[in-house]
Amino acid sequence: MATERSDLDDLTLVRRCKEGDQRAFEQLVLRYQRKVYAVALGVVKNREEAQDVAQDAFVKVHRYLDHFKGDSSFYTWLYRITANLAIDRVRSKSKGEAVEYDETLQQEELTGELGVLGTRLGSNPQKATLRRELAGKIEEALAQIPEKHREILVLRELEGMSYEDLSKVLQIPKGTVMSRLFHARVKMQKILGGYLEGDDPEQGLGTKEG
Amino acid sequence: MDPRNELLMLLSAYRDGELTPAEKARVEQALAQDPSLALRLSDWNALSGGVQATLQQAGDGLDDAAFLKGLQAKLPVAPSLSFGTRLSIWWSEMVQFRPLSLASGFAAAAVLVLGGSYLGAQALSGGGAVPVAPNAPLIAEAPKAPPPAPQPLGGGATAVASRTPKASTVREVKPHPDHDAIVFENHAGASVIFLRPTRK
Repeated sequence: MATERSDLDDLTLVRRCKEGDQRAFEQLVLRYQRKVYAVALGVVKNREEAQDVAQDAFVKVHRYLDHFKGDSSFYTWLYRITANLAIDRVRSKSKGEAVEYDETLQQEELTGELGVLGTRLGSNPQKATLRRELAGKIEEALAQIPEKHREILVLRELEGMSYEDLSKVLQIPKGTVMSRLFHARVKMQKILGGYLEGDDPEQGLGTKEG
Repeated sequence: MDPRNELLMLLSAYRDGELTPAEKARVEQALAQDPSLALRLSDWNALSGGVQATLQQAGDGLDDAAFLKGLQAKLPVAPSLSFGTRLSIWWSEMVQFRPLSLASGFAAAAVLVLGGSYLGAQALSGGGAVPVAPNAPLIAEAPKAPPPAPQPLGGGATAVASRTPKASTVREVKPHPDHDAIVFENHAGASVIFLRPTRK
């Protein structure tokens, strides 16, 4: 019956959870645990903490399942809970640490080599090794940018959260969402662009354009 | 804000599909005139794909079983389900996943009940509609004593006939002081004895 239960849609599983069917809840966990973990990891960076946050998200979902009315999708609801818990975790850790965020962009960040990243991360299969290397670099770059930039970038890029939703989850105005995402992208581009600029464009890795 | 920075910020929002129509038109006009903007947009698209792939790959590294075990330790112990809830869950799963089994089950039950009622009616009417083989040997006969307790005729007929929905031959009817013993032969050739209380 477990295979068949996996075919049920989210709302049916939620309804069964409300009726007390624990196996339905387990099915929801199996369905989304990796995605939830990925979101948490993107924000908190540490794997153990990310697992803890992801588990806490499911505990919260279990506790407040009766409050879920199905107005949005179950995953959207779960995603928001996870995002909030991850952000709370990061902020509680950095409480007391006065961190100055530099929202101004240096001229070099805005005039760095352009188009290289897109070319290098393209879909050419021969570039698979390079893409794997870049995945590691992206993880490093995410760890280097300020927390508030990382969290907004992860929430936006991983699940395409709208500016409206980001504004609610992060409790910042929409204008700030727009500005913060822009700065996050420029900083990431700068870090990754520096890595790429060291490569020899003649090694079949694409050429610079523009 | 510097006009160039403002345009780049709009470009970032353009990538996310979050601009008003007027802002969108402004960005698209700038894109047509400035190739460096298109390259930056290309970089941001690639960055988006890279971030997604990196985090999804990290998510795939999760130990599912360990995660579930840790989660179960954090969850409150669930109360056992009531019989009604279990029945409700079973029913909804049958309807959703095994509708054919459910329908065939109902069909079989209906055949048994209707067949039983039919045979009961035949027995009560003396088997007129059922062919009786003359001089057929008696294979088995119900014990004569003690006499059975009075019972509803329909129920008795159903109880016997439910095992032999296709029983069609009455071998013998033996009258007794307070009941009749009716011997059927079912479709498999086995004898079935039906006890019918005698009407006063």
